[in-house]
Amino acid sequence: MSYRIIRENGIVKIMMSDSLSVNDLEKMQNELELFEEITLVKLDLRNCSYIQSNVVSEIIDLKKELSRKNARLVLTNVHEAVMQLMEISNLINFIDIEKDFSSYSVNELIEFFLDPENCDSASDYIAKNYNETFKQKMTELLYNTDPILKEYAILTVGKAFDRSLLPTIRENLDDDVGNVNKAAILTLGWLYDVESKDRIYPFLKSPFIDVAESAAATIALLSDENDSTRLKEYLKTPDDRLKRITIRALSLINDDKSYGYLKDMLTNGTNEFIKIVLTKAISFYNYPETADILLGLLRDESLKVREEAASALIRIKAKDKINKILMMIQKENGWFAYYATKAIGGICDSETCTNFLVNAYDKASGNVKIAIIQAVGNIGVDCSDFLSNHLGDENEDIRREALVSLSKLNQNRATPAAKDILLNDSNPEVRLKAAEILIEAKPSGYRRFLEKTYKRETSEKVKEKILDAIEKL
Amino acid sequence: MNHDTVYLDEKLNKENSSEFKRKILDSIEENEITFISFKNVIYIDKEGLTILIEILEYSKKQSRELWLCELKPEILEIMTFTNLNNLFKINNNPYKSPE
Repeated sequence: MSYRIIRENGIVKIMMSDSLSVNDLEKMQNELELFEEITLVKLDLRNCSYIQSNVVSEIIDLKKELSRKNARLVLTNVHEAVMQLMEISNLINFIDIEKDFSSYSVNELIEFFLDPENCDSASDYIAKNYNETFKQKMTELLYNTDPILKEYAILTVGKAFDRSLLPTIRENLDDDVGNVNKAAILTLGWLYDVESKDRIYPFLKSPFIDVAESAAATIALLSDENDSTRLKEYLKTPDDRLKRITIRALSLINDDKSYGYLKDMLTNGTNEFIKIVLTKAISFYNYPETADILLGLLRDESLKVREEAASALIRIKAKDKINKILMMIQKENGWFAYYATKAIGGICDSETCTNFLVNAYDKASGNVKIAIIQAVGNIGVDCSDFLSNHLGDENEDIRREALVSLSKLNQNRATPAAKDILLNDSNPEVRLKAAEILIEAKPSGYRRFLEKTYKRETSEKVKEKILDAIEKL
Repeated sequence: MNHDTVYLDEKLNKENSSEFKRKILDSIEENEITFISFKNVIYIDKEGLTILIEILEYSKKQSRELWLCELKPEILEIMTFTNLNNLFKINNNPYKSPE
């Protein structure tokens, strides 16, 4: 027999030898008939580097047969050559394929550490099933000369929360390889090894950004009341990269001191890049004045900072600032009103806001008009009449956004509107959006409509979209 | 396998860390899989993250599965910055239950 069956509870694992034939599958099917209450059959092909092409249809039959018994068929550890055959025969779309690490010995498992596709999953598997054998192997690897094996051994020990290996992990802070240092830094953070914190500080200045980031994050996790003041010194560096990771660490520490330092930095002026990072960082402090600071940033000279401030106001759901923002929109126009309107679209869900924006539309400047149309769609209160009136606007961006918002608020009106636009609008980008909305809505008879539209469509991009949808049908 | 979803409040920080810890530990004791939904989380700090790591360690000792789900991009960014995305299982909740 070229296979071996292992049964555990409702799961049946079938280990294949070096090939899989139609004959094997027939025998297998007969044997499975004898089992009751199977929920999962794993066909392990790790030793099988070749399958006959006629086996493919037999596998589908086996899957169907198992489905009838409410059991799943999964092919595991499929060899690359077999995988290629499955791709050619399209079997890949019909069969579940997974990695099953339980079929491998400890030594085979650690070889996966050198395989970029499977290293993380292998490490997760070992951590999940951590026992004395794995511990012994990981300890061995912590002294290995291969930095990749060492890196993954450290991470695995961290994932398994094995504190008995802490002294060895600490030693790896002195390793010459950045990735080994990074793994040690992260693991010491996960294991809450406060003792190592002082040794991690110098890594903030590492030339490798991911090592420096890991150091900043771990220092934040291990921080006490003195670390904000200590980290503050790094805000004075001319190195923007170091400033950025320090700001993120301070925001994670999230105490009064760190808030004061970040607020001062924001107020005292800095470059655009750092200001964007600060804007996001400050929004993670739950202080009453945070929303006001963000509102002020909607007037920043940098449009990117304004955008970040608008996103932050949405994220913190600054509902108590809605009236203030609406008043600002009423008084002003231009970019400020644009970002304020975007913020309202994300924060507000009431009819008052929709009515306010609809009434403000006529006096608004071009970009604010677009923001209003997008915002009413996001608020979610039906204003289909208002939006429908703008489906024929002379500005194509307004036509497109009006259709998008209409589709969010009233599908019954959006579908015929999208059909009309797809047939008659002069702008291909607007027609493309209409096609996307129709494809998403799938109204009755839309296949015929798409086929008809495809014949008269002139834009290659729109045609491609329609053809793709038809093919999927 | 029995499972449960614990919905966190707006804050995953020092202000309410003991409260959410209790909620999640209760769920871990009663279920084989616990999903922690971040859909409402706005504020997160190192205190909240440290407690999450403690909870993960506890769940591993109990041979229970713990998943983080419905993380907004800003929260996911923090998980990536701290590399906790490599420690936790993060996914959309396949067993999404009503709140």
